[in-house]
Amino acid sequence: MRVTLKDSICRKAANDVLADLRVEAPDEIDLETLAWIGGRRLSIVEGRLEGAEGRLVANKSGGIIRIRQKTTPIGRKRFTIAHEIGHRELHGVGAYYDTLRDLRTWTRGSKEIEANIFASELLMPERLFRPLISRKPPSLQFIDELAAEFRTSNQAAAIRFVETTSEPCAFVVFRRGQYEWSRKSQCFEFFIHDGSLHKYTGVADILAGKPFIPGPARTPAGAWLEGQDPEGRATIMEDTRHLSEFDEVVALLWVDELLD
Amino acid sequence: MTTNEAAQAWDDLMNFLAYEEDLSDEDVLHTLNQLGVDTESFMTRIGDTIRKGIQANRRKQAAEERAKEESKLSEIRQRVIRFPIEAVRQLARDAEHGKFGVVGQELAIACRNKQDTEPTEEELRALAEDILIITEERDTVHEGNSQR
Repeated sequence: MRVTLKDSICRKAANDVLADLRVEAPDEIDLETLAWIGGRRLSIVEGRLEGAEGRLVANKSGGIIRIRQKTTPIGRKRFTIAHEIGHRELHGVGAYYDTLRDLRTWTRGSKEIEANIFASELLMPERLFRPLISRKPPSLQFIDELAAEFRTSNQAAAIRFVETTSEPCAFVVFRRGQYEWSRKSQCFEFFIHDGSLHKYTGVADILAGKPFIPGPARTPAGAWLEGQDPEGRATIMEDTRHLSEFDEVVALLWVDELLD
Repeated sequence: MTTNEAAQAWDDLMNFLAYEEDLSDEDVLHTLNQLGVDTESFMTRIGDTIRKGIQANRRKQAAEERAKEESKLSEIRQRVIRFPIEAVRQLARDAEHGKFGVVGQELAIACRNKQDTEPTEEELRALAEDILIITEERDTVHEGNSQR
């Protein structure tokens, strides 16, 4: 079985790449230059790739990052490029072929998640990201703003947000109507129901095709969290969105009042 | 700080730096503060200017190197465009069998295994290009040209 790299190793590798360009602000994260300098010599080519989001082929002297032309918006393109740089830095020379699934999967134990963690740190270095996340209360709208500021994908920004925030938050992904995975902030001490989806959740409303008002809303804590009564008075905040392009429904949960 | 005060502080700084070469760093900072220089923001500003200068140089150098590289990559692209499609398919098969080295083999196999649909002609040509670039150009032209 392959030994996986620790998150801290992936993040350090990304910061080493940023140090090559003395990056100190989000708008200085110039991927074309970062892919080239530091001996990487990776050229970025766009187009003539349909079956994947991106691929890397590299030897010791350099290589090619090819990304799918139809990949939009810019944040997703940049995340793909950063992911490929991550393969080069973490896993060495060789060929890597990355589908949308590879780039949207955050379950542990693969080279793909290591490259995703690297990409997350490269595009949203903690020292630049952390000072900004307390500007507003958690919401998917705020996460969209952070994604735009750091020119990365919304999903990557959501994960970075829950990893970094001091609020008890979780980001939950349902794919094709089924629970897929979740990420929790350090202080989110609850277990999320991952088997059956409770009818009181916003996600259930979306999946049932019910009318749905976007934005944060109160949901009974027990609808999401183990050990809580769905009929009880305790509530948490839920902000849910349907991503039809990926056949996903995502939810940002946060606990804003004391729960038993 | 008004413009006049800033100009005066600047003049004081220049005079001071011109004549006080033997002071310790601590003494320099102390004296500059007394002369009305906000040393902290001054040092931050200087550091930022230097950092941005380094960034600009690296960007420029990288852009020049990439431009040179691009002309070589373009030559390979033109060559692959002229290949009959059957020759492109054969190149991909040869790559799978290791004719273009381990990396070329890995790429050809990864493309075959991870792609759900049959590759288009354009995709096959892009694959051939990347295989040739990685095996021909990079091995011969840039060996030992690393900045790290």
